[in-house]
Amino acid sequence: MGDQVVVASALSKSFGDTRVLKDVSFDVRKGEILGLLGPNGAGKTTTIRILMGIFGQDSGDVRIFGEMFSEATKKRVGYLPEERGLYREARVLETLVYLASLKGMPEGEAAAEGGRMLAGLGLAGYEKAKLSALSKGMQQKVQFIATVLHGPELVVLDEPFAGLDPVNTNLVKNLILGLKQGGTAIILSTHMMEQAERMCDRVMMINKGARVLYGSVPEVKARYGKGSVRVEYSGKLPRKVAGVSAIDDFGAYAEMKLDKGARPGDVLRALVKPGIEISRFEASEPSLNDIFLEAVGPGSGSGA
Amino acid sequence: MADIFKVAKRDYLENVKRKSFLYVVFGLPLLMGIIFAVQASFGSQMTSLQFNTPVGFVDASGLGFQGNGNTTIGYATVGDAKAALLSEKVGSVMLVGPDYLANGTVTVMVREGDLTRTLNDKAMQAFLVGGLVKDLPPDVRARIQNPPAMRTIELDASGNVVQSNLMKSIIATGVGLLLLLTIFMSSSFLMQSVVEEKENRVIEILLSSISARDLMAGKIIGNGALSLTQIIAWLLISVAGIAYFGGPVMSLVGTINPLEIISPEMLAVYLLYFIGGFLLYSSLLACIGSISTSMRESSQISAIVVLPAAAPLWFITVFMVEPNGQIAQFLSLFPFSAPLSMIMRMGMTAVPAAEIAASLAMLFLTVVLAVWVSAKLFRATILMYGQRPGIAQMISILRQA
Repeated sequence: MGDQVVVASALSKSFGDTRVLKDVSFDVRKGEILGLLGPNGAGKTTTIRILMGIFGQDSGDVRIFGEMFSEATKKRVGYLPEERGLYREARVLETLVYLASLKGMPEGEAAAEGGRMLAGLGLAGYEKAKLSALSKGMQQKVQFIATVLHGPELVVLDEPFAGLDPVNTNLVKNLILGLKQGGTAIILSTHMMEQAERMCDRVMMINKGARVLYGSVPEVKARYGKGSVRVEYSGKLPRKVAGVSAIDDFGAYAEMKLDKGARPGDVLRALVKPGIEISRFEASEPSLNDIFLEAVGPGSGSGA
Repeated sequence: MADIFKVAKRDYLENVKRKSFLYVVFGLPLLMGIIFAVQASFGSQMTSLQFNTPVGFVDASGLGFQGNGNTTIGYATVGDAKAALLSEKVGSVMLVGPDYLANGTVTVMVREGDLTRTLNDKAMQAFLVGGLVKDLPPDVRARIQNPPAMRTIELDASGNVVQSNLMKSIIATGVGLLLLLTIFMSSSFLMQSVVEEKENRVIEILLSSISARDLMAGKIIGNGALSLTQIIAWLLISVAGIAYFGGPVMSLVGTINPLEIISPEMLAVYLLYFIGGFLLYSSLLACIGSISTSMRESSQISAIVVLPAAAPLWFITVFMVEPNGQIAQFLSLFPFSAPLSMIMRMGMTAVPAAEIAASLAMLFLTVVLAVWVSAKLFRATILMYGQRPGIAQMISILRQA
């Protein structure tokens, strides 16, 4: 495909005797958000650091903008690391200009654009403030600006919502969508499944260094197969229902996971019995969160 | 290259504004100025003290000492002199005995608790000598009263004069120490900035923008420029200080022409040792910064590297006595102690050019090795948080490289 920004094939990486990445392949296209999902220690940060050229893979191949990774590639990429921080005693705009200049942006341009973006995020007047004097939310915004100030074609965001309150979460979400609309390819690594489900065009889930799920959100849901139903009821819920693999019962409300291939209508029919009154029945797709728990939880298999 | 200079510029501008840098650049010369000033004014107070209270004397030698009635007052008997002393007419009394010519003994009486009066030694001696030589021609008398200034001339194997004196070795040691101080100050700034960037995780953003090699090179250049700034500032302050307060300073330094002591060749060698020493220590401290997990840990590890650099100071007496002895030779060849050792030796004696060349060659070879090792370790360890790599791990990193 012509609009592929990142093509990674069969990436592997070990630290000492530990294999932290096993044959992971994926691509990222222009103007799309690829969600990089997985529990702690799954290999997300290692994947990102290989993409950023911070260290090399042991085997496999990465092409960014159709080329092998080089120092020049770094200038076209924006990176928001999970472990955040900037020079605490330096001034906001000075820091933004320095980091943008390392990406090859002329200082004057960086200062003008940086000022505009600060104002856009409600930080007008803080250009000369020291970072240590800013609230955590403000520092997050500054860091986000530092990531995108130089107009990167690929942006890698590692947990961009961590530590943000709902207002700022929404603000950052809109910024990310704005980048996407502008044609930027975005890799979004996160634990927040709801955000990922709503924002990402495609997702890749990795666990213990291996890719376990990969595809567009509807595709992944369809492939994972298992839907669920939500039931509001009174009376006594049977312990076992045909076509249901697990029941999460709250007394008057229950979530039931369906067996692969089971249909919600069959379940409803099975439930309509004496001694139980169904007041509400809703068939739903599995959420990414369900799939995540299913895929990486105890007893999970792998393969996608 | 452009990235290296951007990093260098930021590190330079960041550190040049640091309080600790400003304290050293301006505080140290100020402190030295104060010491000079106190010494100078204390010296003149001493002089006035000597002449403020007259010295009494009783001449039993028959040599005919004459008091001037103002600073020196003669008394006929010990009793009179004692009375004058106790009534504080005089500060001290010299009893010049009948055997003075034969054994030279003079007894000095002071009031209880007033032993500092014996600090008048020089004035008393001048009086005694003056009394003995009063009949000689004035120029002879002046020379006797102002003993000769000894100047040692050292000859090399071919009989040429080698400049050498104590002042020269003091100046060389001072220059060496200042260079070392400069090197370590900027190297430790470098280390601090690496640890800081590691602690606040800016390092990850930096490494996603530029290479680890450019980052380290930029830091070394920026902090090297900082060192040069410091040296230039000190030179300017010294020149200004001497121009403004010239008198008291020069009286302490003596009438020495610095250019006579430090030749252009020596300056060139100093510069080479400065560059070599700076590159060696800054690359090692950058590496220590990248290995360390905290500022405290980095300063503990860096002590191991700093100790050998200062080693020549522990052996300073050995250097003075035997500047070409085995210890001095070894320390000036060993790359980690070479900069200070060789600069000290060169001030004390004529060091064979071949030895300087060998020492510089070893220093710069070590620099190449240190930069290589540090760059590898820097790149491999800079993103390790919370855990410091062990020796075995570091060796395996270097092997893989």
